[in-house]
Amino acid sequence: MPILGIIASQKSGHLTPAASLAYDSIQTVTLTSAQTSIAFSSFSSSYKHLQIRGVTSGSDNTNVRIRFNSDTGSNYAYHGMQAGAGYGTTVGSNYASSQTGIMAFDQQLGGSTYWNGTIIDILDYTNTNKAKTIRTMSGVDNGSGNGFAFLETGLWTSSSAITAITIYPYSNTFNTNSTFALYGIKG
Amino acid sequence: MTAGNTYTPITSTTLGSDQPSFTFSSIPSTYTDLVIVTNNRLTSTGLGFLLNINGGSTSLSYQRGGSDGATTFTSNTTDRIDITGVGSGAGAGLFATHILNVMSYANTNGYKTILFKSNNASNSSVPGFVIFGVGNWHSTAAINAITFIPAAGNIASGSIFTLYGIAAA
Repeated sequence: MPILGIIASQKSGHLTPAASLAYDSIQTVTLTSAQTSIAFSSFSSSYKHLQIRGVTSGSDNTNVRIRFNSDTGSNYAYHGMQAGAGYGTTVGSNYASSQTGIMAFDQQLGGSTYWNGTIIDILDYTNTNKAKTIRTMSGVDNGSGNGFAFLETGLWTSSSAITAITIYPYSNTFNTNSTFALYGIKG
Repeated sequence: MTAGNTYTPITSTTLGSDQPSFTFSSIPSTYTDLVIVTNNRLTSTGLGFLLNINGGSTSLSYQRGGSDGATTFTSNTTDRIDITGVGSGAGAGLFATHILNVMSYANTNGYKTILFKSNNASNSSVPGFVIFGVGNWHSTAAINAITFIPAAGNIASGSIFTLYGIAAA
């Protein structure tokens, strides 16, 4: 492995010893064929928060949604901001309630080489005294002046502990090589 | 089954003097994603703070939006990714904070996506800002170097750049 170097003009940087943080890799899913959804289940309840990091593309210009514990009822809401091409000169916004899933991100315009990046934080996922809140940051840029960046927050109105997570395109499929990694953050 | 702690600080540098650029080089390909946290200041009054990837300044583009507290704005370009710094016009001692997530930086199946958030606060007439955006490097090559370059002037002494690696199971 090459030694990581630092270049700051004529100044030499310094290396700090690697140390571990309370952040565990739990499971990674990389699609070997197009799929209508991906799921995480049977993960530990011993963490304080969860984070999902993914790069995806889809077979359709659609947004991607997330739901919990296989709840397909109208128990979700989201608010968000969007920026980039297609939003004029000001930041756009979105809002919806009584949804069957949270709009976590949008993967339009990606295609086979320009991938959407997304980070989803699921906070206090085992607490049974509160509804569950998530936040996402995502974006895609297709290299030709089109794309967008998203900041979203989502709500699942249930106080149940989250034991399963499903992520799915609103229509059609994720492309091959789309990948999601689930991490646990200790409190 | 978890894979254990996977969020690793790789290196951190605090500039001891003004510098025209800063580069993380020879980045190992052993992680899944990279996270860069930097608190920095530019010596010029300009705010442009640009990224080069693997030593090159081409095949880059970005989308972003934000607010300066008075209005919101968006932009999209097929130019170098501009994460926007805080310049000397903001007043002494004011630094901007940037967090960059470099997704699947070593994956050779697709081009590279960088999510970024930038912010600074100012108590002078020069506004602060909050920015969120996405950049793309149009290459399937693994990223092994990331350079931060002011559009004018230098990066000020005291600026901090820290690189983390996240490894998926």
